[in-house]
Amino acid sequence: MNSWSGHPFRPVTPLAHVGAELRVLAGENGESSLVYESARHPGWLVKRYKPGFPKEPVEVLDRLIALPGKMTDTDRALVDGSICWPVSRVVDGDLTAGVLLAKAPTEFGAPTQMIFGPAQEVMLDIDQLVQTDPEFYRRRGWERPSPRERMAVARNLVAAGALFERHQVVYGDWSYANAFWSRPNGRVFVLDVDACGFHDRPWVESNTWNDPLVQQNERLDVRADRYKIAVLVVRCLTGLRGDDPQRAFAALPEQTRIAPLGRALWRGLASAADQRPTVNELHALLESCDPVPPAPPPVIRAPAGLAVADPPNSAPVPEPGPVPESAPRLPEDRLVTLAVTLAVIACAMILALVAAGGLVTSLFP
Amino acid sequence: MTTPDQIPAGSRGKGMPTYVVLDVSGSMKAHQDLLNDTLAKIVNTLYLSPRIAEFIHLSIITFSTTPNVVLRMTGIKDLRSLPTVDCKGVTNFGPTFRLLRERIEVDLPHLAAEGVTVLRPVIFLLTDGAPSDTPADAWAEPLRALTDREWKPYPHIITYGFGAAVVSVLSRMSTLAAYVADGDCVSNSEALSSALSSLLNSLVASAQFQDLRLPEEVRGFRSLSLEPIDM
Repeated sequence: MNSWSGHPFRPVTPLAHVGAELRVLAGENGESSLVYESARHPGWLVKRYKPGFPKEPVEVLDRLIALPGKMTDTDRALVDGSICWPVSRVVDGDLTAGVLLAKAPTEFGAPTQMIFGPAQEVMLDIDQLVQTDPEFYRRRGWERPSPRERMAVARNLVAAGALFERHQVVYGDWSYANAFWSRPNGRVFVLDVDACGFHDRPWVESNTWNDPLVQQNERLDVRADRYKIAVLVVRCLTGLRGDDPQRAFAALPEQTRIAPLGRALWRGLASAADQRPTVNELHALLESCDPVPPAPPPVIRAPAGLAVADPPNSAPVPEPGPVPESAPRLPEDRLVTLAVTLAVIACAMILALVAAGGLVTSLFP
Repeated sequence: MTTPDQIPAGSRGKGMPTYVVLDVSGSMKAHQDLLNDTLAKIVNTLYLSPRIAEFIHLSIITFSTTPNVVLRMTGIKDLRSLPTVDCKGVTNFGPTFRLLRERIEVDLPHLAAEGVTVLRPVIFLLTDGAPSDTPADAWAEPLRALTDREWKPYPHIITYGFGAAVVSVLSRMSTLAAYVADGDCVSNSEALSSALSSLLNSLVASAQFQDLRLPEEVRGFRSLSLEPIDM
């Protein structure tokens, strides 16, 4: 497979040198206008940016491209095996026109029964893993992911997240679409790393994954990554979708929720941003625990007069079990308000007792 | 880009009712295979991407002399087959606009009942011909009724024209964007392929951003400036 370590490019590559389109993989979407495999360099993709992108100064992308060269061998091996790391900035004259990336290895594909036509090889992304309905897998001709597979994917994704964290790289875009996984070993391949920043990065829309403590268009930092990784883990483990990731947390078995892993996940999902566990901490906890059973499949429930199946994201889940000790903490200003209120009440009670003792006149002549 | 208005509130997340309306009149016969292949590609994309299918609630309508609902807005996960389109007949827009209004009246309450927060519907209309309605302006009143701002779920309409499509007609039918193939640069087949590819990209991007996203440009097409609709 192609990787950062084996790439044949210089840090900056003129557009004229990347060659024509061998195969288009994606059209206009997000910051890219086109993603295609280079005819001159098969196995390498050219991601062309729309005008106005990348949003960050080119020095950020250049620094990102060079970063694996400064990593330990262990981290660089993780980059090579699990992360679609940018290898060269593509320029058209003075303009940054795109970036060169390794094409995802075929191991992340699976033969898939389509609605129409013959089976096709389809790349598996997180979208395909976060499902509870056995029928979803049966129709596509896939085995339902086992708890062991789910745990392996979660561990490997969080390992990549921990690497980002170690190197002050903010990914910010954890979502259904941004990583592939392979069967049955649960290896992963994280995408869209070229948009990362150091220490922070521009806001990226990531519906149902957005950190509720970050306003739209604010810059994202490692705390947002910690939230999104907690969301990623509970969704990978349970298969449960929906707007509220705490429902997925609630679908974890009770013994997992009250264990150190569950407590850390809860802090990631529900506590103040600074209280969220580091990705490294979460990674260590995932490495030390057993696979957990996924959430139950959805229940079919037809509204009156309509024959429709419940959506996966409204599948019934148990109510959240005992809230771990590290449940959301009150913000500091609210704690101060609470303390002042309690002090006032205490003073009033003392005064009342004193008044009852006939001492009021001496205090308030 | 436009932020579709929210109609009723729901608990299953936002959903964008999307109507792909294809001209399958006789003049499209040469492109019938391309149409069928691309329709299958659109449906397969939604089938393979739950995140897209959760947001894009797709219905496919073909029209020639009369319109036909090829795919009801039932949800991709329940889909077992998709009829192939057969190109014949003339290009009557009036009955198509009437059918669209009827379907919106039916589909949107259905989605809301499923717990979807229903966004304003979007119609992608692809045509290669001028209206053949009789009398000639018989399509105008159904279009007015469909796009009537007093009607709460009035849709946005995006048009793609090529071949014999009339620029002034496309502009009048569109409420949001209109693209016409540059006949000097691309063949009808290339234009159709490009339009369908653009449509598919719009669906993918809209699902990502939970908001209607249209391409800034469509290869082989030029954008038309829109005229206000005479209400």
